[in-house]
Amino acid sequence: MAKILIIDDDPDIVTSARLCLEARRHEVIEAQNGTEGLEKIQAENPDLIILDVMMDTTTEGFQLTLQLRNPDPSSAYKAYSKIPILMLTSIHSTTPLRFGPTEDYLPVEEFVDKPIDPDDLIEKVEALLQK
Amino acid sequence: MERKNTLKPGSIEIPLLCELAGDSAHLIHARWVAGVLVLLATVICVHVLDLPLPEGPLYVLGALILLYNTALAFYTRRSYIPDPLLCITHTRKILILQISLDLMSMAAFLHLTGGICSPAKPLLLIHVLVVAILMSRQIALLFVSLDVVMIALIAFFEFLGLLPHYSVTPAFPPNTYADEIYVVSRLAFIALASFAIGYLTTTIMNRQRRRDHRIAHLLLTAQKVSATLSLSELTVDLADCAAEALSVQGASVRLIDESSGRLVFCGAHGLSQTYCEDCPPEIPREILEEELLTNPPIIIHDVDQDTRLQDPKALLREGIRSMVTAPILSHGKPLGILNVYAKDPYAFKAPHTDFIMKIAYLGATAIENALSFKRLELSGQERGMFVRMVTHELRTPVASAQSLVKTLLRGLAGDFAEKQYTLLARVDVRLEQLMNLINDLLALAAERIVDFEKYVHPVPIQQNVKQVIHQLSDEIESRKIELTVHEKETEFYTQATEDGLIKIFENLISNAIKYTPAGGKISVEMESLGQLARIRITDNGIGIPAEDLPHIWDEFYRARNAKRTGIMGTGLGLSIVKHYVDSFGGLIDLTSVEGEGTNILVTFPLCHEPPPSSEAEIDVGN
Repeated sequence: MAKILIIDDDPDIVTSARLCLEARRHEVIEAQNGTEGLEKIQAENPDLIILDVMMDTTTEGFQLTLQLRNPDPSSAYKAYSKIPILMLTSIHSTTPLRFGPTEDYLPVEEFVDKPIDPDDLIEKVEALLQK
Repeated sequence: MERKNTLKPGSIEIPLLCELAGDSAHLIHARWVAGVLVLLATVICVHVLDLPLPEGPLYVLGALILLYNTALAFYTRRSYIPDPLLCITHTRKILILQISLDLMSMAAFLHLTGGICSPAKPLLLIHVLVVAILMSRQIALLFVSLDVVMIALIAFFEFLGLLPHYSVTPAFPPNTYADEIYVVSRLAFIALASFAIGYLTTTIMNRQRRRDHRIAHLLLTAQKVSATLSLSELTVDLADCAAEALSVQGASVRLIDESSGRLVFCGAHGLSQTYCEDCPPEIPREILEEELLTNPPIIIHDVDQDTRLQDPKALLREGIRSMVTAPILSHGKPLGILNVYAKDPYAFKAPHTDFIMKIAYLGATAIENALSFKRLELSGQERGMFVRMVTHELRTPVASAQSLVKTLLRGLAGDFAEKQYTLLARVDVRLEQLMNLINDLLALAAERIVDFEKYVHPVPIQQNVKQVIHQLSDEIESRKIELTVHEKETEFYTQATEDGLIKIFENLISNAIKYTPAGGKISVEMESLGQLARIRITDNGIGIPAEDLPHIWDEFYRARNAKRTGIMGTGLGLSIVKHYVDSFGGLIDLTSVEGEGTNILVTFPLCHEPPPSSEAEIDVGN
């Protein structure tokens, strides 16, 4: 049983993910945007973060990741920089029409394509938690 | 802004080089005639007219002329210098050598035919004329002086008895050459005629050369500005050409910024960086608008005196004393201005301003094209952005609905009755169909909007095809399809994007799987032949009816037998494939017989393997 934070502004995606994770007896916390997400990270210190890319801005998810993984020793999120992140991607394609930066330098552990496939999500979450 | 002042070898110099080489060849041709004429004239004068000419020395002279001409002809033909600038210098030197040799043979000929009394004296003027046509004014006048000195020396030495005198005209009293008045008056008129011809001819030639130079530059400008659609390159080229054609200190192009309406520096030649960055338009906007639209161009004859200038000191600091401003107009609409600067006051005269107007006119068309191209690019980017947003807006609710339905179907929100489950499964299928359509539309839009040239790089073909097969392996297994892959040991590459390549083969192979009945066979053969990569996908599936074949690349078109199978499809797959294959410079050929199967051959031009470092980067991307 682990504590998992879902950061996504789409309540239906959150519900789907929550149902999948709760069925595996994980504790689920929600945040609707990046700012709330960072607050919840500090308040709850989750074991895993499930993060959407596009929220209030098109790259909010990327921004949060970079903030959390900031190598600067004085970073406010230094204690949380090792929490694994599973990113929910809207367009899993490297066509030039994709949003935001490429995966090359994005420090996240795993990607899950939307729509959420329950088995795929559970498998990836379990794998990350076991690490 | 700063660019090299010299033009590239091989551009403007080429016509000059051709002209010089032509002149040199003409001179050699003319000399054959001259040499032969000396010999023939001697024979006729001595043996027919019975004139007392020194026959032997004249034959030797004629032979010498022909001899050195042979050497010159041979040398000119053999010497090849690839660099046009060096070649011009070389050809000029040869010309000077020819003219010097001619001067000496002319001296000998005049001496042998009577010195100051020679009836051949007018030939001297031909030499003067040739020199004045071929050489610059200084060199021409130097040779004219030598011509005059040469005839004067012959006359003088013969007068003093230091050289023998040949009396060849029986009508002349034998002592004419020793008559001071005759000698001096002849010499004076020869000198006067020579210098006058030399001076007038070089004046005409200089004028002609300047005109040629400007025309050549005008042509070069036309070539340069029509060869680019980049506004910055174009304006710099325009400034370069204007300054170089007029051989003046500098030039600049300012264009009207569409959003602010200000005149912005776009390209300059021969101006300092500080000037280009800081200086406002030389002439205030009101004067520009008033004068340029009514009576262009504006000529500032003296920067120090002209009250129309905003900041004459800035111009003086650049060493500029006069300037011309011409409007760049397209269909009567001002696009900007072309300024040309000179370091001397009163440097611009009517031919110059006329030329500047012509350059500005040439530039206007090119600038208008570049601006249209820029607008087109921007509108393409905006459309791309729009498609992104629409796609995202469409995908988000569908993806959320799919996520919920999948969670329900997985039983994570409680159990269903069987009928409820069946209906929900159908909803899931329909949503999947909708999502596929959105994805296909995005792929199609991406292909049209995105300039793939910016993104292509060497992509391994076999690796990507195998990746697609791997992704589709569950489907292949579940349909019990026998798939065989023939590949080459060594990987081969083509200029493409990974996504594009994957999209192509995903569509083609998944079509083969979908439309091949369970237990059927599919083969994928990959090979490189010469400069081409060939990928052949063959199946023994349902095939395509002959009447549908001409339409298979059309958007939303699905073959009748494919629709009857009840298999989901958007009818966009093959359109996407075709567009991507075209974008990567490939070819696709499809043959099919209904009921027997389909055979698709995709060909791509091969490219070199990327260097190891960039390959590593691509791997990270994957």
